[in-house]
Amino acid sequence: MVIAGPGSGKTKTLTVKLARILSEDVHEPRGVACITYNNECARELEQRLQALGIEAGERVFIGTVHSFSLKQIILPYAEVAGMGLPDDFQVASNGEQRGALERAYDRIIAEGDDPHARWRNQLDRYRRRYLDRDSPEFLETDGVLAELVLAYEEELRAAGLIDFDDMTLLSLRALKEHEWLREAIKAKYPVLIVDEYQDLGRALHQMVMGLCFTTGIRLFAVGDVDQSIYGFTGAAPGLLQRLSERDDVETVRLRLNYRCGSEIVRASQFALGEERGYEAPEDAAEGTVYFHPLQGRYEAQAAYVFDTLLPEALERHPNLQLGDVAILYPAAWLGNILAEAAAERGHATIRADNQAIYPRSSRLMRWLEQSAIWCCDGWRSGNPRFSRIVGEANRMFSDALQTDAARMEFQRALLRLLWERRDSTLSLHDWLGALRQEPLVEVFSRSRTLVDESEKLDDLISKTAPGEPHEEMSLGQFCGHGEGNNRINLTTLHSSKGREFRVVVMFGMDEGGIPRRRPSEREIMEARRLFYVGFTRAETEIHIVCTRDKASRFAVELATRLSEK
Amino acid sequence: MHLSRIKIENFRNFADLDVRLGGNLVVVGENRVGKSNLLHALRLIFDPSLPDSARQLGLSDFWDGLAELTKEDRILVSVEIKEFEDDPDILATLTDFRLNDDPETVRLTYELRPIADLDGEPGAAEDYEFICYGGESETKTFGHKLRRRITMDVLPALRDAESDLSVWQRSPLRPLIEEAFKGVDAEELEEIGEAIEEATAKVTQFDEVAALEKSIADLFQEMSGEKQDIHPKLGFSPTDPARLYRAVRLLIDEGERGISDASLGSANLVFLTLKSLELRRLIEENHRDHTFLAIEEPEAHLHPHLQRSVYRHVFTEAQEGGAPLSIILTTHSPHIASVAPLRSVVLLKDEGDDGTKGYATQSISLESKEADDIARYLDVTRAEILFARGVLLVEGDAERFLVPAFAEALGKSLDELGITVCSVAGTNFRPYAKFLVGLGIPFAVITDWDPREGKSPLGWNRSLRLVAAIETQRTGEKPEALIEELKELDEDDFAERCEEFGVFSNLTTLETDLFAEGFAPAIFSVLNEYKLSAARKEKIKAWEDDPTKLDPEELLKMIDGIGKGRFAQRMLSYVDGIDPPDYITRAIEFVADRV
Repeated sequence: MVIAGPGSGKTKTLTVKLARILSEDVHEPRGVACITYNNECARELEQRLQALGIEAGERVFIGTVHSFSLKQIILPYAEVAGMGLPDDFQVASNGEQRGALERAYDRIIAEGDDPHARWRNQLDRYRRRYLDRDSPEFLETDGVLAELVLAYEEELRAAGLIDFDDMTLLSLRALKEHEWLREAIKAKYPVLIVDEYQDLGRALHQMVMGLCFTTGIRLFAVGDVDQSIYGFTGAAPGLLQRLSERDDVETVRLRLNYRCGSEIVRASQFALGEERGYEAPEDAAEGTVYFHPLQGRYEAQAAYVFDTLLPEALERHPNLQLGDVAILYPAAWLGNILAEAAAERGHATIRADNQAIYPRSSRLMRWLEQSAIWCCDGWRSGNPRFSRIVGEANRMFSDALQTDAARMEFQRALLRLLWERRDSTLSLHDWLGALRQEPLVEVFSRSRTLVDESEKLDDLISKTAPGEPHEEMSLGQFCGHGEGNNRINLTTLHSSKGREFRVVVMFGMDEGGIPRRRPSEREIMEARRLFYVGFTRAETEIHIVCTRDKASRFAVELATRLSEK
Repeated sequence: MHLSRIKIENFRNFADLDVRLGGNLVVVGENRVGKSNLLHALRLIFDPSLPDSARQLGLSDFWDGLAELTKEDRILVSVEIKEFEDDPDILATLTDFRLNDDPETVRLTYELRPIADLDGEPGAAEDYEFICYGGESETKTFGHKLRRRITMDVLPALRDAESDLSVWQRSPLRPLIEEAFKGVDAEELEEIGEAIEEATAKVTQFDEVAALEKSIADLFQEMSGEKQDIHPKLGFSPTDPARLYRAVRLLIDEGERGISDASLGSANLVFLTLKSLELRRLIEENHRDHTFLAIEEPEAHLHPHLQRSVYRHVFTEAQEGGAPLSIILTTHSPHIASVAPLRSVVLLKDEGDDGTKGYATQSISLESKEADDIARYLDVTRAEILFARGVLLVEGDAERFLVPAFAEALGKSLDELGITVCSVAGTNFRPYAKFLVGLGIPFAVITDWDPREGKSPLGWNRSLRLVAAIETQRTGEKPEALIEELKELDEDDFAERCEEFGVFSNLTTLETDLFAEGFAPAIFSVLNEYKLSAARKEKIKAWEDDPTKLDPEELLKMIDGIGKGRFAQRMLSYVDGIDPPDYITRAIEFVADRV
């Protein structure tokens, strides 16, 4: 278990360790499975491994716990492990999940309110919190929710569907029931690597306990309790704590923070409220913490950020580009205010929150970005290589492209389509439409697991349609979206996780936003960790923007402790 | 891991073959029945040296019995594998291919099928494609990766082992030598090189040799010109240390002679030895996890005793728990079949319109004691019943000698019919009967009725249990109704009904029955050949005068004194022209009609 603080080179450590295990410990035909928090982390790891000459594929699994459950357990073993799924089960689309919830709600509650607004989150949390459907904890903690969960799952099953939480639940159940299945996973993957352990929920934790501590798979886990910010989705940082305290687990803490300036590293521990002994390397720059207590509405504060704060920063650092700057905020509506203010001043922005034009974490979107880059210039430079694009497609669409013939046909169709569209000025809408129309429509229709991804593509197509806000977007701009460095990053604190920027502005650091109004003890702790995560994204400058008189308690405490010295 | 089942549909000789296996596989059967095709079917799945172009079968590979090929017809070869969970490498390779209703078994399938978007009926090889997949879903394809880990090596029949051994690239010695020399210090090799150079120099110091070398070199240069000259020299071996090891040869007779002086059989054996070592090395170095070593007609050029000792060793090695090796043989050799593990035998038979069918010993439900009996019997009798078309099971040597003569008297030659008379040395016919039913070999049992004072005859109980065992093996369930029916019958009807199942019995015992059935003169003639006590001679005289005075017990005692087998053998001199006993005639005809 590696406890890896911010900027400690966690991903690098993990990549090198994985490469080393593959070359020294685990030999063909066995391999290593690496479970990441989301697809974005998975892609990042894959790219870094490629740089070391290791291709993800049969011996190396990299993906989320959902994808691990689906690809390694449910798809190969649904029948033989008796999971009770029909042969042609599908992953439920959003609409299908809503339908199932509505029907379940009508059966169990039927009070005439909106089942989605009132119950969805509670339902999800309850499902993730209590995994064993026969346990008294599940049945009795909240009887109504338990019934609703059971009814919802029945409705999905009746329609031959599973949703994302089902993937881990069904897999966990199958692993518990069948020793041969655990042994089979161990045979294929004698080493299990888990990234961001603190953010993965109970289902994964139980899977790890069973696979590693009962069956004997070797575990290499990386995490940081201090960066646990997904409690609301069912993550429980205590699990990581408990794991690191076991006698049969060796815990290593990475102490150096290579990202943040030394002053920021020191301050970050005040922000966290804990002394972790983190240090910057000896030759690190100092870095600076700025406080901006402002007055007035957030619109006015946003204006201050763009008119005063940002120009000053650019002045201090002549080679600073807008892409090196990120503005972080606790809630997406603040992002809207900032985006508008930026647009009024002619600044380009890139948003990474739920208001983003498309979600960064989508595997399909990442693939489309790569395909677009190939169309713009990549075909000439060989970067990205076409074979990589095809390889990723084969993995992503593996359940639709099962024969060599199907894969060849897809590759041909894809190449023809992309080849004819090597023009960065093409309308993104048309480009996506053509891609959707030809090679992808087949794939989506044959795939049982890509419903949610195809919905994201359709959503992007409609956002770029004539008359819609992103009508003008070109293929080149779409590529830039993936790469370029002249747009200010707008992101929620949550979505900033794992990223780094030279200058970070934490906007809206006020009571009621972080933490929220009337917080529970647990919420306060999680909000503090969120504050800490945002704070440690900065390399050289961190700016805390807050409203005078209602500044967040974390900002106040930080300012007080910094001034004490 | 081990193969537990092979299924073949529509491939060459096989319309629908389905055999259960217990690991190793020894295929016996007559010529042209499809033994090699069975191996080839397995190669389609496992052999990494078979190119995909060879996996793409043609129209002529379909079973001949298919009148016209339709879209529905496909060639299927599938194998099932059990006990794959002990080696994690094998488990990792096979785990996804489990059967839906049985996680303990994986299946691998080769299928040749019409291409998906074919218009009309298939009519050419291009209309077909092959896929290899595991489990029960075509989407779980497998290919070279699996074949590299779980591999089939075929040593074909009548290969030229000697020339394979002499060509460096083909020699099974090459990888072994290369591996062995990896660890040798280069400097020491250099020393050897120098020593060879010295020895060579000494040889070429002989005037005659020097003159030969020079004339070769001169003539070559004249013919090639200076530019193309390769400077030929005489020597024992190249002296370049990096090439030195290639000159290492396998020698025989304590190093006195080369392998080319060995007999064909020894060369074959050397080849097999080297190949086995190579397989061990591949497995130890994690290049592969399991090998199916298939040897076609391994008996070629090997003396029977050598066949038995070599293959006894090969099977012992392959049978050790968890051995990463399975042996697959096709053979005509009773000597090899007789040392094969009992559970490994598959008998192939041409069944005309149904194609070739397979009968596996693995499917026969034998108790372990019964299996031991049969294994020992096969060993001692050189597995003759495996190669018989029909079998007459008899109690002892007396029948073994007499029955062929009786058949001859009926105008039937058992040898020509391929019928073997087997003595079970006693009355424990059941394991043999089950074994023969399981192998689909027609047979009849000839046994004594053995009546007893005040109790039911021994033969009654024996026949009843025998019929029950035969029917149980044949149908897979105990024939309760039949047993009830038989129990109700009187002795004559009972015996008659048993004959329908191939169980034939007399009225008392063989010899006394013969006495009653007109063989009395022959019996007296044999008895009189021996020096018997005066008292016995007197008794014989009395029986000759009045056969109704016969004391069967005393007669049997006398015969036992001579030895039943010996007695019967002698009797053959006197039986010309006498009709065989009816029950034996019926038994012979029963089998003759079925072969």
